[in-house]
Order: sequence, then C-alpha cells, then structure tokens
Amino acid sequence: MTTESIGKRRRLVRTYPTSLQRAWELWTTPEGIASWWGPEGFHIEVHRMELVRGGVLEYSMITEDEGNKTYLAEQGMPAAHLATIRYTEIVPLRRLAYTAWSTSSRTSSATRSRPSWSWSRRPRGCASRSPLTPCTTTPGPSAPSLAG
Amino acid sequence: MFDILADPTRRRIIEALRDGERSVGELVEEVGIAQSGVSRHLRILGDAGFVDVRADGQRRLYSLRPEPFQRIDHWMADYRRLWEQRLDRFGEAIEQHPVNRPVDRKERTA
Repeated sequence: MTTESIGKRRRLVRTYPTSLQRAWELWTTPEGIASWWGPEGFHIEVHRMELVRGGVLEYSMITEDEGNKTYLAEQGMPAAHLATIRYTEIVPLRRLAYTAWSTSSRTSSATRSRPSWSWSRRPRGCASRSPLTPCTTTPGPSAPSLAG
Repeated sequence: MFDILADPTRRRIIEALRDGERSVGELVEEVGIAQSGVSRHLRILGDAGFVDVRADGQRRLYSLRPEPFQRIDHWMADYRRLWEQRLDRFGEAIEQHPVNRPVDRKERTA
C-alpha cells in the first residue's frame, strides 16, 4: 500500500534542447498541442483553445487504430470523445496550470487532476551539447488533485 | 475515490490503521480529534470501502481494506505512464522543428 504518496504532488522533470518559445508554442497552439498530446494510438482535434485564465481547451480524442476501437467498443465508449481542460494560470513562456479530468479504463473512475507546468532555461544538470542550445525543463504534472 | 482521501483527518486515520487494527478509542488518541469526529470519518471510510470493522468482545476494531488502495496505485501508474509517453512525444515534436537560432535575451528566465 502506498498511501504515503497520496496527497503529495508528483513531479516530472524533462530537459529538451529547444527554446522556451518553441516549448510554449507546442503547448499553446492548436497545431502544436495536436502534434504530441495523444495518448498513444490517438490523435486530437482541437475545437477551442482560449488561452486566458478560466478559458478552456476543448478537443476530441480520436483513434483510427482498430485495436483501440475494439477495446473502446467493449468498454462502451465511442471511438472519438470530447475532452475539456480549463486553464487556471497562464504566464507566457513560464508557466501553465489547468484542471483536467481523466478516466482510467482499469478503474473506470474519473479523477480530477490539476497539473502545473513550468519552463526554465539551463537548469542545474542540463546536459546541453552546446552552450548556445537552450534547455527547457518541464516539471509536472503535479499529481492528481485529491479534491476530485 | 480521491474525495475520500482529500480530508487530512481521514488521511491521519488511514495512517494509524496502516500499523494494524485500531479501536475508536485508540484512533481518538492517535489522531487527536474527538470521538464523534473519528466515528464520523470511520463511517465515511467504511461506506467508501476503505475500512472494515469487526467485533472483538465489547470492542469494535477497524482495519484497512486493500482494494481501494490497489485501485489508486493503478490509477497513479496509469497517469504517470500517460505523461511519460506524452513527454516522449513532446520531445519528438521538438526534434521535428529543431531550434536553429539562439533564443532572444528577453526570453531568458531566472
């Protein structure tokens, strides 16, 4: 049992050889986020992206993968479904926080998460090949909120 | 499910029960709140399937059930895996459009 992990915010840190501008664009433009958000085997179609505090990102998660389609059908879920996240903090090039709902297929329970992500240049330990190559870290997601 | 654990008092009760069965009286002492509060939270935990109760003579002993914690473990593992995969794809998206200019000084952050 790992109750000790409950209530703590988890942290993921990654370093990428890119600019803050590019990282920000990948998060905050419909084309950018659609290029990586996924999840695996899915792509998204962004319907609405309101990049202001309280604004929403509304998208459809779509799969063309036959295995995924079969699985979703067995779970009584459509091959495409609508998802929404609501932005709670936006600091251009620095920080993004939002509230999202996610559903686990294994536990079939919906849980609210409130990830926050921040970006900074050249953190300690950033293994950049060249001093001119900026490194961007992406800490988060800060664990699922427990007040779901 | 996470609602149940959002309450700090309930988390303290769960902490105490991790070491084994407890009576209400023992929980009152360990958690440091009034008996009515402990009883109320035990009822909520019981209704949600987190806690079992059995009679031991005059006493009623409370213990943790493993199932909800296993579900939480699964959820956390799923969530972490989702994000690890997502951040891998984020890295791939970056590589498709590599940066070929130094970043403006004004973009620097502390």
